[in-house]
Amino acid sequence: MLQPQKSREQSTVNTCLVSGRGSGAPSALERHRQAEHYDGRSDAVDFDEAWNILRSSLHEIHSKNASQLSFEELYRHAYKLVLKKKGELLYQKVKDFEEDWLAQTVQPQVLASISPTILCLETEAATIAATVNEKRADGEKLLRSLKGAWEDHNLCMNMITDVLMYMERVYCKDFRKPSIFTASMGQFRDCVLRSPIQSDHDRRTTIGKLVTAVILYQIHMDREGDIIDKALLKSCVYMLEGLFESEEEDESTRLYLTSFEEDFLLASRAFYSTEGSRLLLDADAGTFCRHARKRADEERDRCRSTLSPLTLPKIKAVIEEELIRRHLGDVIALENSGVRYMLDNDLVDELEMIYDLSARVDSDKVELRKAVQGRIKQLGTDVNHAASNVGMSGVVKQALPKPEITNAETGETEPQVKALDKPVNQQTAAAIQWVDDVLRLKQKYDLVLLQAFQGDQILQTAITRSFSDFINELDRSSEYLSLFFDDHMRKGIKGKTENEVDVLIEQGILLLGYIQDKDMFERYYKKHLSKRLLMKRSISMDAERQMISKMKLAVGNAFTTRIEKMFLDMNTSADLTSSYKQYVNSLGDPDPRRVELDVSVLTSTVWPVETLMTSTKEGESRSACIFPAGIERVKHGFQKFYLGKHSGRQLTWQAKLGTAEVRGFFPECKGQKKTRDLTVSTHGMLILLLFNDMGKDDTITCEEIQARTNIPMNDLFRNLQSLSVAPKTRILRKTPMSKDVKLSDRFSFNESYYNPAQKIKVLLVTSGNQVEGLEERSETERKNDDERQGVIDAALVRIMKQRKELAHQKLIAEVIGQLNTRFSPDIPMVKKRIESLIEREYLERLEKEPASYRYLA
Amino acid sequence: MTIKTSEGMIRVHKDVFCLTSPVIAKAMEGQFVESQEDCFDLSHEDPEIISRFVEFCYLSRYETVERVQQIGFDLSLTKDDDGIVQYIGPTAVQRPNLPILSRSSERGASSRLPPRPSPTARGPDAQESAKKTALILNAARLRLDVSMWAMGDLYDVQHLKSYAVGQLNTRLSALWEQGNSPSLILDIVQPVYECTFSINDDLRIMLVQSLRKFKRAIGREPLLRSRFEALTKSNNELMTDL
Repeated sequence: MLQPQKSREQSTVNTCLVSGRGSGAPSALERHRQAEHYDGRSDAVDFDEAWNILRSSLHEIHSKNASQLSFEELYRHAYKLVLKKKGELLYQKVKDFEEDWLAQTVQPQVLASISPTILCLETEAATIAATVNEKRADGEKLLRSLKGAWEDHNLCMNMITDVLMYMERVYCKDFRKPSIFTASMGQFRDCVLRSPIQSDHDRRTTIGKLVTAVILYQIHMDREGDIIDKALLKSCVYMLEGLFESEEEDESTRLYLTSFEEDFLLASRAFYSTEGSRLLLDADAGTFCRHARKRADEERDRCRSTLSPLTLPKIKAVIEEELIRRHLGDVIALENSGVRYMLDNDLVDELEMIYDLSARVDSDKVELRKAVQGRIKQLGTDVNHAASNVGMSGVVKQALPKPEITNAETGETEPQVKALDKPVNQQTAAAIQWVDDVLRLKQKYDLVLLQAFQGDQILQTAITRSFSDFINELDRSSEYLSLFFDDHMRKGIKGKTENEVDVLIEQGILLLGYIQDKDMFERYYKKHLSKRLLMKRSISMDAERQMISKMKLAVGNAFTTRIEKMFLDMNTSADLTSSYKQYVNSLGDPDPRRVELDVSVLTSTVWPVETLMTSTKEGESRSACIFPAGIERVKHGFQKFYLGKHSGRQLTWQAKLGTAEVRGFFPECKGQKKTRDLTVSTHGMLILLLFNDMGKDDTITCEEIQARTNIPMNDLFRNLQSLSVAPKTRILRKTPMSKDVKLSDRFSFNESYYNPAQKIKVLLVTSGNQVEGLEERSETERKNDDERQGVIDAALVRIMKQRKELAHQKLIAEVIGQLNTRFSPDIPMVKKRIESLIEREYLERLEKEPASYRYLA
Repeated sequence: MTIKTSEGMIRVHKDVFCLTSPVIAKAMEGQFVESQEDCFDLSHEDPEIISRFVEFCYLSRYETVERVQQIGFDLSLTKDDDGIVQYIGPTAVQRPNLPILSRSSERGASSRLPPRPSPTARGPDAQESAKKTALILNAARLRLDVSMWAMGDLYDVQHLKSYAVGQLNTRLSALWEQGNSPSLILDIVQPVYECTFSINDDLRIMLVQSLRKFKRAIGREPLLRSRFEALTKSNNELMTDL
């Protein structure tokens, strides 16, 4: 019974609580209601009341007393006004208030901070003498005051905008009004920055213009090396960046861009223009570059730390124009410090700077390119002159600077060559020297290109072209290069590692790439190679093969096929010889006195046989040498054997190219063993064999020897020289003893010849490959031209056969295009070949414009 | 931070409120008295609304009115010819600014809290009473949604606004389905127009659309029609919006 009663009591209490809550409503609420009642009737009074509260609050905010204001209250007031459609009125009132505040409070403060010293900055009239420090201090005062005003304004407007957020969100959006913040920024611009300075009526100077002048002056001081307050400048620039010409706040209408940047760029232009001219007069190229680069970096930093990043590309353009582009040509050409000086003294760092500057202003780097090209051309011409001077004068020039490598090599050369130091040898050395010089030059510029020019494509092409130019200017470049290879193949690569040989070959091939007349090179290379192969002078066949394969890669397949064929001939010859030996053995009848025979059968079209035989003078009989009977027998035997295998071929014996091993008995020789194994040329053997039939002290004249052997005079002289004059191989005695061999000289066998070595190689005096004489040279050129004519003919016919009809110009162009890899054809020569083909009725001229030809089948 | 109400302080998480409302964020993070005292003064606001606002900030929803006791007003009902309880409009008080919930100043004669319908009550009286309770609840719910929308608008809480509109829309649709008292919608016309700025507000759009839907139903009932006409006459914006 008790329980339900209790629960009823409880529910009553609850009800009381609810009603208690209701009756306990504070009287404030009553007032609220009344206020609501009230506003329904009188909007105007209501607005004034709310606005008065808001206005005094705005004033408090500007006076930095905001901490006592309730945001919520102000916000709610603004909210109500806007809901009651009083947004526009509120907006206008706030604007008016701000304008008042700026004009009455802020502007005078800023104006007060202007001192007369800085007034003259803007007008540039130095009427008031003020020290730099004064100007700086006064300028900073103005900037500081303005910065303060701006920051206060910004802060307050942010707060006010926050309070008026509802107005912004609803009213400004609906009526497309600029935010009150934006509007007040415009007011700051108009009321503060654009307000005229009273003391200066006539010139209409405004605070904004003055600020620009002060900033520019400070930057000028910074450039001169003074220390300035960068943070202060930055905040002023930040202010200009935050202000716009119009309330649309379009990016391009920032005050910074419209009223400051242009002046800044103008001032900078003037500054760098004078500085550039002054530097050019005072400083050397290196200093100039360093300075220019430093300036560029400084301006970049300035844009970051003091001004706006927006200016970066523009000020960069100014520096590039005023400081770099305008003077770069002069700097590069500076007499004692320009690019030439840098190149000659390997000033990689400075070259790198020059390159950097050039790349900034000119993607083609015309000036730098010209300078580098000019220097290469000049150096190349010097190298060419050095080489051809030796060639022309033929005088022994000991003073010729030789690189160490060549010196070391000459030390290793055969004694004869050294002993008979003839102008020709000197020339050969000069040829090799030339290649070395060119290679050194090339290496140097490769390094410069890589380190200083960052492997720039344009400069690389330019350098390559310059090299190609001066290399081709020297008409003997292909011969020299081939000689260089020859020298290394015979001597140079001795004792070198595979890698070193590789590098050497590659460098050589690189030069080959520059040479235009590759057919000339091929001719020389074949000539030199054949001597190396036949006389077994190559140090390493591997290296030879490697060379060929590299050449193939660099210049193309067609170029090397004939050279490869030479190697093939050598191989088949070795096979042939061994099968011949088997054949001889199978015949039985081993004759102990029989001569062993090694034969190299050379295909005459592939080998430069005629060049090898050029030492035969015109008019001299070309009849073959007279072999002694024993040799003749073997020769016939082989001929029979060979022709039995390959019918219809003709064998021509080239005694000049052969070598022979002879065992000589020297009765009066010192030591136990009286015999020596001599390796001589075939001609030498023929000469020596003559003495077999003679008595101990019998002599024979040169003339007689010639008559009995029919060796060409030239070869005879050389052989006799090496057998009787060369100090280590005097197997014959010559009377009178002199260097040169004359027809009347008499020779006898030197029975007391002594040489500690058992095997002696008697080298021909001029057996090595050497520079051609002028005569030989023109002969080679003539032959080369003959060959070119054939090649051009072939190309012409090939093209015409395909085209049937073709205009003259096009035909010429195609021929040049086809032949360019081998040589650059001479246009008159091509024309002559066309004429010749017309004569031979391969082509006919067509009677029409433009001049054309038709192919006749 | 704390929120000050007429009934005392509520401690809430500042981050939650600043994230929910940019306006509160500005107030609390600015240099005004709110940030000094870490207190946001809402004492002029209805505590019921505030507690729902707080609820919304944490849960992204608010509880609607469930008990008649929570409602501080009454509706005067009329019976039509068939004896069916009908609500035509607030006959006793012609105040445009109806308090939304809780105590109204004129609580007394006409709006003593209706007793909870006793479970044992039977007959037409009980039915009438139940019907009346439902109507009162519905009216209160509609007003609550409108006030919550106003809160969202004032403090710039977009998702509160859309939530409130959604709630209101569901309720109006339900009322439409039930064919029940289109006069309830007329009740909220005035409050809606007071807290919205233009037809661009989603709340007003929703209201206008619903009014168009209810138009025929309103036209059938002369009392309602005259009330609707009075409303459109006194409210130019409503006229243009319709």
